[in-house]
Amino acid sequence: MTMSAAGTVLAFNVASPKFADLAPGYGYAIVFSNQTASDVVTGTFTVEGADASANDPCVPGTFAPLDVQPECSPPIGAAAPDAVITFDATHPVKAMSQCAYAVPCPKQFIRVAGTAGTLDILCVVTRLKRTGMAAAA
Amino acid sequence: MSVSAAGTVLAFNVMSPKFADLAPGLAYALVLANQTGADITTGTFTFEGADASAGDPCVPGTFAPLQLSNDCSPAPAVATKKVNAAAIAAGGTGHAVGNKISLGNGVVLAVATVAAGVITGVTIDSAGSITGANPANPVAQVSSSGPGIGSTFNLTWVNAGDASITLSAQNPIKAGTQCAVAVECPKQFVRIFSQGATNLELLAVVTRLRRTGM
Repeated sequence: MTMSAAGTVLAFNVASPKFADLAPGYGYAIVFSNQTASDVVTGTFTVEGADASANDPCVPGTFAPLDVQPECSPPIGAAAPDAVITFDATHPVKAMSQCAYAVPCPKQFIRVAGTAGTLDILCVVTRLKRTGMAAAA
Repeated sequence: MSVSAAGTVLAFNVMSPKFADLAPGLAYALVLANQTGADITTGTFTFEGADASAGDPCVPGTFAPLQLSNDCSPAPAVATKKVNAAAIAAGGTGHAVGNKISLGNGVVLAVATVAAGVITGVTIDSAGSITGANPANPVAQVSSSGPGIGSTFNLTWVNAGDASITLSAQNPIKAGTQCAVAVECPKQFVRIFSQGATNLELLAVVTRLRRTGM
């Protein structure tokens, strides 16, 4: 009997200054989880990314807002907008519900800037690399 | 270009009293994430579950520790207990680091630290096993692998089948790493009850969501 779930997913609190390292996986999602009984009707959040620092591949460099690129290629003409998520009365995070996002073309490290309030701002990394690998014959 | 990831995963903070609802997915993992720059070497984490309350399928009933089971059948009627914590009541004399102290009922403690022969720290070498009422505290040493005598301990007993993990210097969650758990046969609602640890993120991830892509 094992209860290990190692190698299935990674999960992080990514409310800035905490961050997630996306390098171990191929998929990810940022989740705004409202685990209260009331709608969250205010909040502006910016998804920030950072490459690894020059001296340590496991440590983020300087964070900056991620841009929402149309196809991960340099934008033509107008600058790509920052990845900003705004909740309001018309677009709330309903009580006991969640909103999930995955900005294309993220950096290795991501975090979310903004006042979390009662929201839990989490990141899940999925499709982990190097799981299920067998020893070389 | 959409940035929505709706329908891919659910994620929850499950540090009790917060909880996760596993019903929307077919798989899950409980994650203990150490996002600090230091190892976390203390803390006991019990994985608790609850069925839905009688009046509302979206609200949990009473939480209780999830039980380790080989076939998802109910736990045996007579609960077996083990020691999950040992506090020093009296440090005794003549002890040395590495000595093994037997307390009866299969409980063996390893002396981790001493000060002039007086025990100042122990780890659980064998958690022992009992059924029925807990032995009265403090529990005196029965024997030792060394010359030390006179030590007594206050033992905390838990159901052996409870799904829990205990961190120690030998079994830490290293800096910047995670520990992921998926207790078999969980309830609809799960959470993690933490004792003695801070700075860990206790999270749940629900995957293979139902009704996605319909």
